[in-house]
Amino acid sequence: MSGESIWQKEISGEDIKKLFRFLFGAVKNVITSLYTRLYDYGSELISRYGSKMAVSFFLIPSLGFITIFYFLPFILTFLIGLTSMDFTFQWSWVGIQNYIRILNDSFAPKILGNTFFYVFTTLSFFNVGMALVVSLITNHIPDEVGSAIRGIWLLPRITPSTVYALLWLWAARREGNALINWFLGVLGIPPVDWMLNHPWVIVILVNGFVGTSFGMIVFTAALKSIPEDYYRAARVDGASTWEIIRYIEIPMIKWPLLFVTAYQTLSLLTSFEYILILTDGGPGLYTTEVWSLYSYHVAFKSYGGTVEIGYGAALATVLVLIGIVLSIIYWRVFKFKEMMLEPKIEV
Amino acid sequence: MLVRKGQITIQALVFLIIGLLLGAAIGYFIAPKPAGDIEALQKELEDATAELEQVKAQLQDALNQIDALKEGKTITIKVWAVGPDPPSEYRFLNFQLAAEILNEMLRDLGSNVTVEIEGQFFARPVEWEQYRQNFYQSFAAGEAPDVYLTGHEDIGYLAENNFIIPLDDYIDKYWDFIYYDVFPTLWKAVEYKGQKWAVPQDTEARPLYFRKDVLRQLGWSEEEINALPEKIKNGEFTLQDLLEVAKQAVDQGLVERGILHRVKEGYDYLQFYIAFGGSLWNPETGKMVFNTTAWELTLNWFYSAVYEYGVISPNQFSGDWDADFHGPFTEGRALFLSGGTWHKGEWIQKGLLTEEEFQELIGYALHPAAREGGRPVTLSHPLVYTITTQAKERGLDEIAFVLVTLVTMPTFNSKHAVQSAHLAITRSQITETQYAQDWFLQDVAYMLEYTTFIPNHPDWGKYSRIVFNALRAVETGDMSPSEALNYMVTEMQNQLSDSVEFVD
Amino acid sequence: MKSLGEKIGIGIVVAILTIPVLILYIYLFLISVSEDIVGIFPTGFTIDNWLEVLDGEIPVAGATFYKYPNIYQVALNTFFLAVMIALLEVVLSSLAGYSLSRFKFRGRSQLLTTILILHAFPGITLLIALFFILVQVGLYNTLIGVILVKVALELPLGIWIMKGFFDGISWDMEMSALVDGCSRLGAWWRVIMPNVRNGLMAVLIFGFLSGWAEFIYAQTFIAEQSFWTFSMLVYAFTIGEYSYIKPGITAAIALLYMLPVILFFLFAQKYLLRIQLIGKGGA
Repeated sequence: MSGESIWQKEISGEDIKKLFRFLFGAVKNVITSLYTRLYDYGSELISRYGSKMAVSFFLIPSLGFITIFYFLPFILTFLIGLTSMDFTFQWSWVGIQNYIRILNDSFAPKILGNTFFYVFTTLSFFNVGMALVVSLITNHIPDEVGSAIRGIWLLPRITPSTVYALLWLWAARREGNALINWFLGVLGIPPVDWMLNHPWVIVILVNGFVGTSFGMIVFTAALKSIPEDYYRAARVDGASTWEIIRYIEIPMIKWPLLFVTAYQTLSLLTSFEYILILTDGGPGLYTTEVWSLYSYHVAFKSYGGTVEIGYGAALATVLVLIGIVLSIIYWRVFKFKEMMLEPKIEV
Repeated sequence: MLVRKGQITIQALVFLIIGLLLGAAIGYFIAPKPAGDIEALQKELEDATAELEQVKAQLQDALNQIDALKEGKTITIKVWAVGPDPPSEYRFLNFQLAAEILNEMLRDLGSNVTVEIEGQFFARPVEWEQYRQNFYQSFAAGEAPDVYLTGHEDIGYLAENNFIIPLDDYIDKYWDFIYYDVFPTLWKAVEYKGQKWAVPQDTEARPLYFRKDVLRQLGWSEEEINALPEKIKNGEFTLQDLLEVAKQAVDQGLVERGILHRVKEGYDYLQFYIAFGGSLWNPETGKMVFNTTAWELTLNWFYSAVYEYGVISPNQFSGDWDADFHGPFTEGRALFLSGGTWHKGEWIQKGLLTEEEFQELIGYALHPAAREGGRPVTLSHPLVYTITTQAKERGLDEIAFVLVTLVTMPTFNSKHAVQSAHLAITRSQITETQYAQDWFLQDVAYMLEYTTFIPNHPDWGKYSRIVFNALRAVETGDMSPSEALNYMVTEMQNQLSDSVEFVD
Repeated sequence: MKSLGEKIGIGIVVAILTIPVLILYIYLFLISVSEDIVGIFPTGFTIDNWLEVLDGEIPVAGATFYKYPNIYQVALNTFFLAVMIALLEVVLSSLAGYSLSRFKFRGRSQLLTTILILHAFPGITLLIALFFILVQVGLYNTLIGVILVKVALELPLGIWIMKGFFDGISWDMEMSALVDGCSRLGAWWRVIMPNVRNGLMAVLIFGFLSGWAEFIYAQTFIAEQSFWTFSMLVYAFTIGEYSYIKPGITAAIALLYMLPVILFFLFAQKYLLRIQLIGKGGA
């Protein structure tokens, strides 16, 4: 300890690092002690009142949340879909009239078509396609480089949605000096008004970039678990990289492929956040409107105040039912895969 | 790693800090927030105070009678107002000014009640849809504002469903303050089933703007350009001529688009239907009207504008306000713009045009008649202040009404009208305030003689939505005019069979 | 030893794979520190945009007094949202995870199944019903409402993660530590915590990031401007009058918003990867 007063000491990089470590450690300590006390309390409860009490203590908060905000909405969505609730929250039972209206809705077929197109295209090009490409390629180049690339592909997903959409909207502007059009200009192609004439391109690109990371991580994990022997044997036999990919790697990741396809299908079917920000279903009459967005618009957006919560709920119920059915199927089919993907503790 | 012995003290410290932070955060959120910056408005306040001297005595009498003002406490009145154009901020700000003056009067009366204003002004990016939705949601949550500004056409729905209270008694009580001076036609806009349900806040006209510089390039002389508004008024320049002149400009490459119109759902395009002979409601039966021939002609006009003349962009109804409406017109890339008087306010306020540039480059007229010798049209959409039933439950309805009355005074209203280019609602406004110096507002005053209102019918929203969908589909090419007409008729019959009568 | 040709090949691959992603972020940064954009190249290096943003108040184009919500208010809102979601999630999911891992009780496997299924289910479809519930309960237009909804929808994931971590610690470990003379606390500290800590951090970070980036629920459930979060503010500039707000300012705000995300990305990537592995997918 020098004789200097602490205020006169210069702050060095080391000090800042020490400060952060201190803060981080302090937070960890708080959480730790909270845990310790909870754990002890739990053990006390067990010994005093038996396991049942302890279980309740541990489970009830979570169960409460899930019941009110997850289960209840399931039922409510269905129920509201059977009413004619409008924005005054007054309602009357109309039974399946809303569903009949869906069948007669002049825009429903177009929106349904949009939804399938959107899901299929984004899935094949990016969520599965690009994910496969990135994971395969990064598996064959030096590992540090590979993980760096995969890390970078994580960025779109963790970037806040409005920011990422903003970036793409800037890049997709109709002027010649917007990123995409400038690049096209270098190739000699005249500028394109993307948002007006080819909105799907942008919608699929944005959703695709965001969605690629999930498949990429799953595939990479699966690829890395292929035993080294296979590769050695293949090299001994003189196989080229392409043949290795085609005959060893792809067949061995069949299950992950199916898993990603299934999961991402459900996810894409119900997501509309980026579409809302990018095009809001337009331009034009429901050009890029998908089912989930339609339900949102019907229930929340109306110029003259003709919001129809009942009808919107009916539209949403369709998705909810599909979601439940698919989730149960996935659970059945992928139960084992789910186990496989449990985190292995590596410190 | 921290030393174990010191663990508890460090923990305590961290707990303390986190606790303080959380406490501060919670405190912040619970504390009531002042709704605006009063200091900035001081200058405005001085103007208003001067004018109100005259009615102060009368108002003090009235205030003496209001029960809610007898107890000594703070009364908070919640006001919601919408633009969505940002220059219309005075629709909300005026209440803060009025509250200041009201408080002064209360001091003079010896009362220690203070009136505070909370609430907010909603402007872009919030649009009408979200504004209305927010209102209904807050109402359901029991937190509706006391004063709710909205379009007059909402009155039907709001009244039928008990959102707002009728104001006849209050209007009669405070008639001599300012209400005697309000233009009579505006009272029609707030009537529903024989009662008055709101106080008019402003009105506007929807002119057809045109670029004088483009007309000059087309070879028009100055006299011809200046005579255009007159010709439109006399029915000499029709909707057909509009298409042709626009086409010339586009063909000669002078502009990218011939005619611009609003990019979202609204009421402007209804003018074309009116020009073609349609009407929107029947005052005798109280039902909305669907004139099949007029709609057919309107749909055809829009269709030919897009596909035969090429003067309207097929995606105009899904565009962006800046890129497809304000931008092209103020930069001279379009010839005609079907808009509202408040757009001039927006263009000046945003710095897109200066007053000189506006005078030099932009002309404005009524929307042309459909045929030679016909009557030109415009549409007005008065916005109105309503008082909610929840205000009455809280016992605050009369105070809210007093504030509304103050805000209707000429000086207050003119602040709004001049900055945002809306039209006056009282006669004295036109001559006695800064309104009188605004050459633009004086110039467009004549349009009010040719104007129509949309109906105050509870189901109006559905009618509007069906019409919008049909027009948009015709423009984008998703439906042909006849398909769109069928769509409209079918939907009207499905959703509005009781509220609409069909006329050929 | 890689040959030059191979190195170049790898370089090209890296470039093609990463540029489409990275270039947008680089562009964002460049715009935030430039005065204008000529062609696609920002010109005029300036920190004025940042200064204006850090000043807090941004006027709305066209109005004389009306301003966008103060940046610091917005930051506080977003932070409050993220922290509360993270804390609630950590506490609730570790409690539930522990009990599901350790205790045998009737209905345990059914509960586990339900949680798994909920994990896969897209919660966004329940938006309308959630809105209805919040209005009825009076939590509409509050940040608390958004917090509760988000926590509930992300609990299945959190519970699953924590359960997995607790599973990795067998009773034997605990028992042997106790037998060896450790106090319960000692056993807990030495044996359980190190293993679970990763799980806690994962859930904490995940919760914070998801709260920080939250948009759609906030947008639907909040009407009051003083409760706006960063995502809503950026949205206002995206679809609003963004041509009248200098792109530089929008970019600066967006970068400010992304700051925690970037920090986590640089320093806590392994947690993020782990979360993605177990987490729900989808845009």
